[in-house]
Amino acid sequence: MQVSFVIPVYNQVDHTRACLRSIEQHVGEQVDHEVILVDDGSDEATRSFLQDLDPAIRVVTLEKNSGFARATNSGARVAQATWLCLLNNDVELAAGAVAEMLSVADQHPRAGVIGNVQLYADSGEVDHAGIKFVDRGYPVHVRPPLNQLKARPDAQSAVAVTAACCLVNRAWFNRTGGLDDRYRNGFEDVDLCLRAREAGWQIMIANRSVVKHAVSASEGRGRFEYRNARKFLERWGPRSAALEVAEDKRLAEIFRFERAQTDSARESPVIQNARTQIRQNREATNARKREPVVVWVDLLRMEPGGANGGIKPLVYGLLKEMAALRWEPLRFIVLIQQALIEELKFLSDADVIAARVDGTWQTTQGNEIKHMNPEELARSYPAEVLYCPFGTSAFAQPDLPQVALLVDALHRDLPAALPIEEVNFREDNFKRIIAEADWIQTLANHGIERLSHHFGVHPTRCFHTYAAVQKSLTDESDATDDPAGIPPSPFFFYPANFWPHKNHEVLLAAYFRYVHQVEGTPWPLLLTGHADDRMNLLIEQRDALGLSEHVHFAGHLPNDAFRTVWQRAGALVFPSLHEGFGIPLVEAFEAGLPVIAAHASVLPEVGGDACAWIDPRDPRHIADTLAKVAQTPSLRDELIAQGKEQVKRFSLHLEASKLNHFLHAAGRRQVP
Amino acid sequence: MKIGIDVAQTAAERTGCAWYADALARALVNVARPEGHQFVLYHQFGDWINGEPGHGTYLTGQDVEMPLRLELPVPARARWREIEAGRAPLPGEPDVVVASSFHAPRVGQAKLLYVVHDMVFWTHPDFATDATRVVCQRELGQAIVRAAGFVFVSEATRADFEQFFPDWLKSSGRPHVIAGGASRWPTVAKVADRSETAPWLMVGSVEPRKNHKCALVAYENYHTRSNLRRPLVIVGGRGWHSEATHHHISELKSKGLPVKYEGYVDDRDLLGLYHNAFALLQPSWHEGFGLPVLEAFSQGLPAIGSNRGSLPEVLGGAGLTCPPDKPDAWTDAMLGLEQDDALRRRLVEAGLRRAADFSWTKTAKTVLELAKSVTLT
Repeated sequence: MQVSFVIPVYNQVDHTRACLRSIEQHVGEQVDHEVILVDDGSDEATRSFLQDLDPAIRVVTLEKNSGFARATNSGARVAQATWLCLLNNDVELAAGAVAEMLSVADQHPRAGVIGNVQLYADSGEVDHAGIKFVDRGYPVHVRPPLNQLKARPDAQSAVAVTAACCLVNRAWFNRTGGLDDRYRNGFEDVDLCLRAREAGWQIMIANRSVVKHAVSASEGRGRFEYRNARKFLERWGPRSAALEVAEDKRLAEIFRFERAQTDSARESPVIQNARTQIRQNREATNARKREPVVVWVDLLRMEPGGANGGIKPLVYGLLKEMAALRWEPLRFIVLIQQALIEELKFLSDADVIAARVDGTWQTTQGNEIKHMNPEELARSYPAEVLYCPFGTSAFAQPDLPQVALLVDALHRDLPAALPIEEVNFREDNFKRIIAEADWIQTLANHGIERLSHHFGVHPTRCFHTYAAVQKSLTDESDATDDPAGIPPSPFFFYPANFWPHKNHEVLLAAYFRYVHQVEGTPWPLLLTGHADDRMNLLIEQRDALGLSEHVHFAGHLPNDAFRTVWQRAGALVFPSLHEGFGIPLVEAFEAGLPVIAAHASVLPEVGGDACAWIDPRDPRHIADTLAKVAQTPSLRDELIAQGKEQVKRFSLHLEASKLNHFLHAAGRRQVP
Repeated sequence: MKIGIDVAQTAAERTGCAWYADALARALVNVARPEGHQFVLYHQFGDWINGEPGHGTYLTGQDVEMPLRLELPVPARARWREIEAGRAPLPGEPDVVVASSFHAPRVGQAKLLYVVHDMVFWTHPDFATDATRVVCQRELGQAIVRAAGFVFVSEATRADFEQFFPDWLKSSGRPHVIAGGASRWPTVAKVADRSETAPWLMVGSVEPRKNHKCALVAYENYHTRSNLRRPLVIVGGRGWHSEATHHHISELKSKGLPVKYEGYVDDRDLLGLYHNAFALLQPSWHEGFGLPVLEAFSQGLPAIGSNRGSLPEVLGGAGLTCPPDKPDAWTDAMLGLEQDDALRRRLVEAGLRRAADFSWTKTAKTVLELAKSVTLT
């Protein structure tokens, strides 16, 4: 199916009827479509009208009036087509409106949101031909005279479009959580477009697609204008202001370019030369745009094995996925310790692995190995952008755009969990990143919120990429031989390095209580993680508690052993006090395991409704939950089913595209 | 025998646990000195590193060493890491170490006695910060591995411990004792009469667990119903999340109520307050022991305490108890105490007797016996 129309309805029977009629008349059989009406708590008359509709039209009913964003999101959740057509019920389509938008989609594969031209229903003047930013980032409709539109090309890009009528990529829309329901009847569409932009989508206007909009008929917009605007500017202000400037520049450049092309015959030679120059620059820029951006990735702090925790699979996963992307190509120069060369073999032949060997560099590109000193390295592969997954980098330079990953603000949220030297080191690191980096990557909205809370970093400087799982980890292929130290199925599983904030003490206390209270055989508990002093301490603790038979420590597991564990485990238990993301949650959802997780830090954002939530501070509550999950198969089934739903929100492709887009834009010095 | 005593907490602004550590150290020295034992005091202990050296319990005598009293934080931390890694000996090389600041480091060959003040970080998660909890649970876990014996400050605290580790004390064969606190001051011989303006007194750092809210709400009601309208004096350092309480206090003040926040007061001033106050209010949601109650008793001050945690145990029927979630009950109790002079006199007498049930000498003897038994095996 091509298009799902999602139409929130709040009263206004006449408009709704006209809207449906226009769909029937002008879309009809040409386009494979479905219509979803969302009854947003309408009155009795509207309700009975909706009941009498053609049964082919699906009606989603919300009990009370919840506003445009929530209504649209609930409609989108049940939609099935490739494209969502978000539509106000006071819009009437004209002939070919949807077909034109679809043809733009065909010609521009990166288009994620496609708007169109909207006319006032009463006067016939243009109400909307895209959205631009004015007065330092405040969004307004572009309203050119109708005759000017005729001269424009079929499709052109815009910074944003209105959701009164537009096509949106459904898969992305649902993964990203749809329209932001903190806005009320306004601005949620601009917010959506800016998020689409961040994710690397293009926003397009189909200039040949025209609809009529009875603008004054939409209720309840003006009332919320001020509140919405404040929310929007808090979230996007600086970025939308930068976009305003960038867009003005772009339009001026297009204007100059077009004038140079048309006027060149009539000008004096001097001016002709100048114009030729402009044209050549423009063409050179375009050519450069097709060249990959050279990204230096500083992984010198990456350790062999599992000492870095979840960040290694995360960074490798993103690199691998970005290397396979077709849009906005990047060329990676990965700087690493020598021991890690083998781990990075997945990079493409164009990418370079530079390993530091005694102050010089050994570069590996495909099968070709060279040795060079630092100056040669910098000359051979001049960096256009620096990516620092471990915070600060020794390669930072004032004029080199920098994108840095800050995983969590643990040293501020829970300093007691770290040695004082580490707290000081991280604080210094954070301060430098915040001062230097052009863009800051976090692993969830929670991370952006924490940066803003502790350091006053504006959210516009940050973007988040969820740590989606690589499929290889949860491959269905048969498990290898029994890895050592894995208890018989089913068992509770907690993969975490033995850091204090991972809260192993509480888990042991809870497990002790569980073992003493449970009737029948208790499920064993498997703890994996990088073997260190604290692991030995916890092993002693286990022995002192008399849990040696029940609690198994397996150290750091290689990938295939991990796969076996995911297949055999009965449930994931995740009592961590603090996380940047909490990758095991998603891995467990993917592997079809019920998840018991701490309602703390970022975990509620990642787990949604799909976890048995525990208070990580209270061993009694955890013990009760362990018992409940182990003893209730129906609860486990329910959690597994919800997990399967939840995991759909995380796509490595989507997250890698977003990072790719930011790296590319930073290298080209554009606003992402 | 050489007894190591952890007094790290006493070097910072003192809370109940710090007073316990200080008094226990003094009493242990007094009790064990005649038997010829020696002592080492640790002013920096495990992960508890004080920023400014030179403070804390100071004892004299040739049998007392205080090797870390003047050690600066950075070398102290480095030294403890060496000790924990087994690369350096514990200064003074004692036979037994009494750890009373929640910390349970490795102490070489010495036997570790671990004092459990409370389990609030698990029993009442809302009343402890994450920072406190992370440290306390880590150290408790280490104590379970390392401690040769446990000292619980009250029966209630032992019960809390057993709630999380049912039967573990028995099955693991670790000896334990109950060693409560006592008043720092001797029981007064004669109780002075209180004036009509003698205030209600509340002692304890301002933090959610102490439930100042209940006292303030109860006091406001009391103030409208009482004829004498005694003032309320609140004593204690600013703990975490104290803003709400301070806001509440200033709100009552702006209504003209005589509520006074004294902040952290030193020993002598506190004694003066005990001597001049009308009665003590202790509406805590939870206490591991509840020293202020005994201190008030010893100075002839009646107490109204909450019926949670260790308070009923410490009050021992000598004070009034009310539920901490029912301010109305507190108002009634306050009015009852104020209007019924016979009741007050009875409670003062009972309080004096109750205070005498506890003494630091007794506590020190209990701990000393435990220390002897663990070093014998």
